[in-house]
Amino acid sequence: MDFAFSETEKTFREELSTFLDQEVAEWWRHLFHAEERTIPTSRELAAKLAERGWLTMSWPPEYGGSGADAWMQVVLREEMWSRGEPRGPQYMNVNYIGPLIMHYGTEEQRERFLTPISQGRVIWCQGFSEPDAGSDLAALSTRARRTADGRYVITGQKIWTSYADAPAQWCFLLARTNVDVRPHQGLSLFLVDMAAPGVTVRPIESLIGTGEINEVFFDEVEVPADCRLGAEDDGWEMLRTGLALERIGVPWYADADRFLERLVAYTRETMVDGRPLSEDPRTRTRLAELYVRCRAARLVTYRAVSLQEKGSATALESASAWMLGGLTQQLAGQVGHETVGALSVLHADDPDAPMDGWAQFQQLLAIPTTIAAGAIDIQRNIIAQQGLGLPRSN
Amino acid sequence: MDLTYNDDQQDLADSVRGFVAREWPIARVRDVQTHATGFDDELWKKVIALGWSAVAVPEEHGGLGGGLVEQLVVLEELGRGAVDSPLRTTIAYGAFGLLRGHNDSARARHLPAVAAGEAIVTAAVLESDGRAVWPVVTTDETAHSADHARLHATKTLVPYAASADHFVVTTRLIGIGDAVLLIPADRAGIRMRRQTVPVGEPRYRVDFDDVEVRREDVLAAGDAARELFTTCAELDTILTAAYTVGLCHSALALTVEHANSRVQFGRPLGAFQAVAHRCADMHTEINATRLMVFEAAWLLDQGFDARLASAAAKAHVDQTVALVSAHSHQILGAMGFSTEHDLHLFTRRAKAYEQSGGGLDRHLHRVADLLGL
Ligand SMILES: Cc1cc2nc3c(=O)[nH]c(=O)nc-3n(C[C@H](O)[C@H](O)[C@H](O)COP(=O)(O)OP(=O)(O)OC[C@H]3O[C@@H](n4cnc5c(N)ncnc54)[C@H](O)[C@@H]3O)c2cc1C
Repeated sequence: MDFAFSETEKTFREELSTFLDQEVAEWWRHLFHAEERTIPTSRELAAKLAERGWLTMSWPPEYGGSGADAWMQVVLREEMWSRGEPRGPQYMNVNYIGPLIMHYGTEEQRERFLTPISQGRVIWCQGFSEPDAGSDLAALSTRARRTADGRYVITGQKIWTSYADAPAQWCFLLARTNVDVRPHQGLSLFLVDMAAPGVTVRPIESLIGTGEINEVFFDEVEVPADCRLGAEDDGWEMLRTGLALERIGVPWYADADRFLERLVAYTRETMVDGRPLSEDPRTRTRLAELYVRCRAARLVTYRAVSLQEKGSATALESASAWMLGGLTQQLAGQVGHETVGALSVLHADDPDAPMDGWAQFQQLLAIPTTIAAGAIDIQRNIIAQQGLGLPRSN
Repeated sequence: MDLTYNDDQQDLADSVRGFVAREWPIARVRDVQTHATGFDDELWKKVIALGWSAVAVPEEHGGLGGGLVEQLVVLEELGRGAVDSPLRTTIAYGAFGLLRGHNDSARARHLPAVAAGEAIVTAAVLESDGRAVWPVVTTDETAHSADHARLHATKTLVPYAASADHFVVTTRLIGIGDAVLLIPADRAGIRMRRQTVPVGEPRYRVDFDDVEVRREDVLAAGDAARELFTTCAELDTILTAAYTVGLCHSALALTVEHANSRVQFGRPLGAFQAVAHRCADMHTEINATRLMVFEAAWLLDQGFDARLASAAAKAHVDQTVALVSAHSHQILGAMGFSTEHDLHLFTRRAKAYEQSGGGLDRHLHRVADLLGL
């Protein structure tokens, strides 16, 4: 066992951190902050990261990377998420969309899709969830029919599609190609041009504002044969790999950790009854509790990465990491609310909001973190059934 | 002992519920939220016509002479509908500020209109740090005489400031000391700004900039002022708690509805024990909270010491709110993150009240104090 980052990794963290301190705008709050400036600003930053070779550094050189190991990647995403993920939607490209294309794509697909990703020039969205298929993703009904000449015609509806309205240029779409087999055996992955005729995006207003999550409608959308990823009906296995990567790739604990730092600063400078709030016993133990949870989530994530590096990762580890990260965020929201007190109802836009409205924002952020990319209960099922060998309930 | 409603209480609950369904359905709640002042005069007139602001005010002061328990029946039902109104502050600080204050002429002059809800009273009690109720230092450095003092204060999260006829203000004045004032809203020098609070009661920052204070405005001074504030705040806490219980009931109802209708893996979500148990926990805790809140009101009605009961009730409410908002959002999945669904209208209101009047910790400390620790 070795619990330390290497010198190279530490140096990289410092360098990256200095860069981000300069480059990430003062006003930048979070990737999930629906605000007009968010997407254009994230595009600029992604391009700058690409110039420095940091955007896709763990990729092989032929696809625009420098073959950095997984720990450099960990450093990178921790620095990103602790700053509200300034890569914006493009974090997904690097996290799992690119890696899946690299692994399962044809040589042409790799050339065509990986280069723009490594240059920070393209936004993808993830078209998995449907109105009737959330946790039960295999129940999805968006249909991809193969035509006589090998193209596909896709019809159906996706929902909660983040960044579709960014606008996303491409959609990483899961659709049904076969209805004669068990549900998860008849699914395929498609790389769909969002500009294709028949694609419509409708933004959904969410608790963080309008313009983040969307409905996406596919009405007889034609997709060329060379935009199917992997073999037909092989979507599910690829997807499972992808989701595991996605879950490890979003270190919520790093986000919560940064929020904790803000809370510490806030409690030190806030006087209550003539004493700094940081001396209040309950405040101290609540903040300490948040720290403990962050640390636990961090280690479980590191172990998942270690196993991934050895090629022996299972869904179990990424499920545990994702669940702990989500619960840590939930705690962060609650602790922030308690620490700031009554004024935490004030929206960030309000000049009277303490901590620039972070307490309010973090409460909202806490809501989807135990739901998106796989609800915590589904993670629990994965751990119980695949990990512990308990019987399936469904 | 009988922890169920009597017939009159049941009738009252039914009539409020009927009113909410008819006049103030959730579409209206959404609509009112977007008004410039967050206040709907027409609806308010209907509410006060039913006497809901006067339920617990004695008959000799123009009230209906009911108990706080009955007043809570109304608030709980309004909470079920997420119906915001200046009712709680008009009652807790207005009617009871006048009733329990030490100013006979103000009582005679204002209580009839306040009890009738014709005069809206709001509470300008929170200092700008969102915590203190009394200024840390003397706020008034200007000249005063025995009859005139000047008020300098900034208060935050003041509900319905733009619609209020009177502000109850906690302050400290030279020559008077701690004071609870009833300041008419049209007095010169009062400025306000609506604060950005995503859902629920409209909130304002209110600046009292060299506002004249007349002797007749003082509801209580010195120790009596602190006592009066504590009485009003405790009442407000109980009314708010009942309202919050109503909010939680509806959050649970929406969740149960969803768990019954949403099918995943070939069965309704509620068929998964992880989901069912969360619903059962929510139900159990809401029910317990509700009884604690009503008990506190009953004790007050009977003239008993209710301090421990109300501190315990508020602590319990806060725990329940945290549980209900986490569980209900979990079960709604992404749907609950969309404003198109109604859940957030209830959970976000409840969260806002969770920290008002001090959160869980403050009330647990109060419980500990009262236990003699
Ligand atoms: C902010 C946000 C962004 C998102 N972005 C995207 C995106 O870009 N692309 C995309 O495809 N999707 C996206 N999603 C959708 C996300 O993947 C789904 O919300 C998630 O998979 C859960 O599905 P659901 O919301 O339909 O909840 P449901 O499946 O209806 O589940 C609701 C709740 O029921 C319980 N539950 C369900 N099944 C079980 C079970 N078997 N056992 C025990 N309990 C169970 C859980 O508590 C769960 O939280 C996003 C969601 C959010 C909130």
